[in-house]
Amino acid sequence: MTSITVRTRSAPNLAAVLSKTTWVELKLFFRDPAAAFFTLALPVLLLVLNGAGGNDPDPAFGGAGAIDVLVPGYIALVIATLGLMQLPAVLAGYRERGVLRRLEATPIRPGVILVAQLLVQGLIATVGLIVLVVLGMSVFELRAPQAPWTVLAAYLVAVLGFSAFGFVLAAVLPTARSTAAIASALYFPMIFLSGATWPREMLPGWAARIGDLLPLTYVVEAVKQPWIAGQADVFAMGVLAVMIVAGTVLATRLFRWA
Amino acid sequence: MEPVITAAGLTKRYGDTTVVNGISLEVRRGEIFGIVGPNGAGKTTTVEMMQGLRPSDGGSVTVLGLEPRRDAAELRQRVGTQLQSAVLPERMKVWEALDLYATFYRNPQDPKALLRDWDLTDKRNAAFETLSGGQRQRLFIALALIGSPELVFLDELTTGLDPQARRATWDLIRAVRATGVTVVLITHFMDEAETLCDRVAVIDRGRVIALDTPAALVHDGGEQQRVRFTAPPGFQMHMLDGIDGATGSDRTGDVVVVTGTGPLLARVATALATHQITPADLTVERTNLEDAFLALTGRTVRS
Repeated sequence: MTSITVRTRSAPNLAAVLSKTTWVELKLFFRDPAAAFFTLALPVLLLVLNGAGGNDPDPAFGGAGAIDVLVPGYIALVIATLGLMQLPAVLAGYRERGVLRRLEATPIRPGVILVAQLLVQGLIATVGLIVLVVLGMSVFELRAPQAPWTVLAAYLVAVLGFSAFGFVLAAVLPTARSTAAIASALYFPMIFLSGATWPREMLPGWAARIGDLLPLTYVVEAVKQPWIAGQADVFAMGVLAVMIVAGTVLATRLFRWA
Repeated sequence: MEPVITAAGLTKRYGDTTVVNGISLEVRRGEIFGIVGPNGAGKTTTVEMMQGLRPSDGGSVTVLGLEPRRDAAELRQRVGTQLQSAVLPERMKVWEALDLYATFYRNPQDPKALLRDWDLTDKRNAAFETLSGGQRQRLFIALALIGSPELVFLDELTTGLDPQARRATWDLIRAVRATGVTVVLITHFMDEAETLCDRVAVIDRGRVIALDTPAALVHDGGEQQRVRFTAPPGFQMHMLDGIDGATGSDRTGDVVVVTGTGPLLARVATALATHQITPADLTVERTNLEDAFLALTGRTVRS
């Protein structure tokens, strides 16, 4: 047998491109220690520090335990860190440094890297979710969710909603520096006032009212209500659905490659 | 043979500014074609239109028989690119970049062979941010070649490199052409174009002001020579008056430069000898593309 080089006319395999791009982006995420720490280790650290009080039923949480309220919040924290801090920083950096421009000159539509980023968001959020749930149930007496499928649906909608938020930030903010500044200005008040780091039930009234205006509050509620009360928070899910639609429309119209 | 690139009246405007103003040129298969000119002349915008990265506002361009905007996906399968100021993610490893880009093309080259060819095997596990300028350029060339292209665009490949790395990069560009790939080289270094290119389009203010071989362009520039020496004691500028073929003389500090045509060195030496002046360092410089550009535009490339 002689080997010959065959010039095939078939297009490159999109699934192979997407899986390879996603795998590389995932590796790049874990090579950034700060990103990996803030996204995955910080919520675990908060659970370890705040979980010492146990998970006995508490009338302050409508009969649920503190851990049952904290863990949905920490899941929301992972989603917020990915959507607000990680995604816009990566995309703004890629645009500023010409990574996206270079991709434009290949046969692959650069949109592939946006889809890969979305998959990376979902995969890392899932890692965070699994770590928190396994640690919570094995060490901190976290109760199993009352309506697990509704929790899962809320989680998916929340990841998509905050990814859409992140894409809009990356689309409208001009530089990596301004993106980091604006994203931080949104992120830090949001994680403290939404119930993501501290139960909303224990916030002063004025802080909770500010929280009502923050999208992250609806991630916390959408995950927490089916978890502790066994029913969907329809309003919270609606808010997140609106975020997905509005964010996708805005981001696709406004996104710039260079 | 059908040209690889045919541009006719290619035009690009940004608001009131016309950055590319009716560029027409042909690039032949297998040549190293230089697009030279000062920064801001419209070189990069011109090749971006050729690659379908920017729409044109007028004129037409055909690349490998394709229309860049309409046939973008097919064109990019067959064209390799190194873009000015485009990079990779900081923590991406060398082998990962080649491995990833290989999936984009229907007929990719073997990443391992490219690593070897471009002397990157030792750096295969190095993160992009840790590479030196020369290593980055070799990686960019390897990435431009990963799809087995028929044509590559190399935009300001040697900017920021030290002289040794620049010369090494020139050898690499010759090696690319030796494999049968047509090369379009965009540069503001005239020596680079003169050394490497078979033909050169000189672009200034969005127009092609000359297009020929480097030798012919230098000749069109008047085949000027420069005779240079350090003024010895007793030298005075009037001693240079009346030299046949001399078109000008200039003194900056102790350095005297006489420009002109013909056997200028011998004539300057003779004129000085009649005044008993014998400079220690009388040298002649042939004109180069840089002088040709000056002759064509009345400005230096860097102004």
